[in-house]
Amino acid sequence: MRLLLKLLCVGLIIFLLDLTIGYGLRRLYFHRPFGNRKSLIYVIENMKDPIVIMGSSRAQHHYVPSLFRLTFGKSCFNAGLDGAFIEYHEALLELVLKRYVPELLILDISASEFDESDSRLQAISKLLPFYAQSDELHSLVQRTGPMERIKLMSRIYPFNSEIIQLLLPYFVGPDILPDYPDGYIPLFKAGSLPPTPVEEPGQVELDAFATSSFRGFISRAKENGVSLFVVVSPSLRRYQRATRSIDYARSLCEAAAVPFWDMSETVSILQHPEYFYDRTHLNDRGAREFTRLVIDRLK
Amino acid sequence: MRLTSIEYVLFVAIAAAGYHLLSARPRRVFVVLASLVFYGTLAVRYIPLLLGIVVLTFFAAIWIQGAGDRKRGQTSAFFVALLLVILGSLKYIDFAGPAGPSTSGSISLRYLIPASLPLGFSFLIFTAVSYLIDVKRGRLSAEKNFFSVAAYLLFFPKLVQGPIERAGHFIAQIKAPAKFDDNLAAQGLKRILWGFFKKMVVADRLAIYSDAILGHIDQHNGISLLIAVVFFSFRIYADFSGYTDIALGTAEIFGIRLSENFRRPYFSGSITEFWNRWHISLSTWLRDYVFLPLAYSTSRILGKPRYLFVQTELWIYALATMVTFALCGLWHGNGWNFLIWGLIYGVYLTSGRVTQKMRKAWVRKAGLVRYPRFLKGFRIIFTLILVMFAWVFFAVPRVADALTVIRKIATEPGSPYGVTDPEFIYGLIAIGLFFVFEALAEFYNGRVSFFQNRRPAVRYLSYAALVIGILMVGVLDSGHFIYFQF
Repeated sequence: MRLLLKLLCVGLIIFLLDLTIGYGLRRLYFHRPFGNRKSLIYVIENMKDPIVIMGSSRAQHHYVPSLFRLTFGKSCFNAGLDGAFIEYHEALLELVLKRYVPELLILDISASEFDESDSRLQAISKLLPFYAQSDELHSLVQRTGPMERIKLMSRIYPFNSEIIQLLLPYFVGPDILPDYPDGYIPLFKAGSLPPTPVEEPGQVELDAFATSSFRGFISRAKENGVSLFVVVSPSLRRYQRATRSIDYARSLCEAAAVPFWDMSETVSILQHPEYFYDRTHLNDRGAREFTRLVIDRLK
Repeated sequence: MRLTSIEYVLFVAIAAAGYHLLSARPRRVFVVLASLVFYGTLAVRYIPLLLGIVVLTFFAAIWIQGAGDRKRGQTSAFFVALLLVILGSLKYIDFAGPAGPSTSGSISLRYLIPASLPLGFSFLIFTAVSYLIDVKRGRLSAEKNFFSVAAYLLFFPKLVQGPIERAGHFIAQIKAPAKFDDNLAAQGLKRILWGFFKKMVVADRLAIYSDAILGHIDQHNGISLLIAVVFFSFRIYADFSGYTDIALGTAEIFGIRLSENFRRPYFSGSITEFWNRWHISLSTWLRDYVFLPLAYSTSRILGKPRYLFVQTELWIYALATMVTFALCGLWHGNGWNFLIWGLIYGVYLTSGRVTQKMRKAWVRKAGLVRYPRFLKGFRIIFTLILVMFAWVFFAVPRVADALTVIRKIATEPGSPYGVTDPEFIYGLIAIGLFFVFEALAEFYNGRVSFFQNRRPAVRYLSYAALVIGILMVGVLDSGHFIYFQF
């Protein structure tokens, strides 16, 4: 009995602390003065740009929105996120479509986009701050695991691992934590990379959750009349076995009449190792060159 | 079922409630069933094998005891060898895994790695072997109740990662008609919470940075690799001792006290002391069942006082130590890197023994005995450096990789990678917090403690702070513990 009373006391303290700190973290999150994390709030709450880029860090670093704006005269936002996979993109599209319908949407996928991996759903945690205000996220969160809803009873949990990023703007200036007004994050170093592609180990099985998310992404875009383009941007990584993700994406896009551009082996990019930041990412120079190629195809 | 999951907490709550509602006899059956359910959530296909080991151990102990004095040694040797052959065949012979040496040309025993070693089998077999040898030595009688032996071998908190419990200590507790102990259960809950904190806030935070660097050693300079090795050293300790805290805490809720496995090993003043504080259940197992018998049998063979101008006693120590730590390395894994990791400790300990008198004399001559605190600090730091050096061979999968890490640390300085990255900052904070808690326990002997404070408000706030810390910076979707693979 005494143990139960003690547990109750500790539980009450935890509840109160969780409520208070959670409220503080929410304030910090939604009122941050600057920093690239602000982009996600913009994408979900304010974005109205007709041209949108989605994808992982490769999208984030490979597509220069200003070049789209200059060519098409329409604003463009790069909503790519480091470590994000198709499940995240599907959820994000759902949240965006709740407010408006972009005219043109480029989804950048990687050669391992649908591979089974433990880290697939990690990027979804970036959307958890919006969980309380978004019914769209509820079903997605349920898919990530039966216990996720229990964790979300905590007010702090949606901001798990965010505390440093939330506090940093109050300690460092915009020079260290720059804003990226159109979502594009340029990389400026040129990697000292071998000119030939590197062989990587073969891939694992496709993730059923991921493939269903991709199907969902395509059908939601089509239902809403979004002009969707699925693109694989250049990479110096090569796989020993055939890329199952790419083959799957190609076949699904063909069936749905969605343009699918596998530009992973674009010679005019690959023959310039100075365009790469590392084997997976283009630097700013490479990104501008690649964006021009994409725009030429879109014209 | 991960031990840091909500599922595990619920499982423990239900299992403990069921356990305390039963009387002593059905409790043992209940523990076995609960343990099988737990194991089933991790690797259901190995349950028949698990039960096979239990049945074999149960009857083997009875046979060993029943054998006459002359045959007892042979019978026990047969069953111990059989258990070790089972472990060896599961752990080292892989017909389904990748064949041949690694493509990078580095020396590797990867072709001996099984497709998947049944979880916890190294711990299970060592536990079973200790039971059989203790019966053979007459330290305890063979247990006649099958479920007592099964509960001893399978008790779920210790099943997959130890401690390697001794039968005498465990079976007496599981047979005792223990009542629910409020204080022990509360202690257990605190321990579980502390284990969660170590695993999710310290170990898994450090893992993000150290894995990122040590997974791409060709892309990083010496200083980044050095930081990654330091992070890995704290990570593996927090990971393994975090598991142990969860295991011991869970057992305490059941009213069972398991053996301590760690006593703040990174504050050791020598390698000998380190092994008295690190993975204690394994080191005492190796001492009792490998080192001492080997040293004893060697001493009977070597009759002269000296060989090659060296005292026989030293030869015996060196041989027994090297063999024991080679086995220790191989127990951990089936690569050359693990063997070398073990042998490094063999070399440390042997050279420590050889230079013992010399070092003592030097310390006296230098007048350092007048500065005991400095001497202690120096010894702790030096020991920690030696331990971290050895961890390099544990942290990377191949010897060639370990040598590359050492070469780069020695020859390729530069600026560290990602120092402004949140993961790096979280890592530093995690190490700092962990170090402070450990230092308070080590040097203040629990006098400065938030968790054992006299004032309930301070204690309750401390527990709540741990939970809040886990929610704020814990890696809540963390993976399994490192020692699961062994």
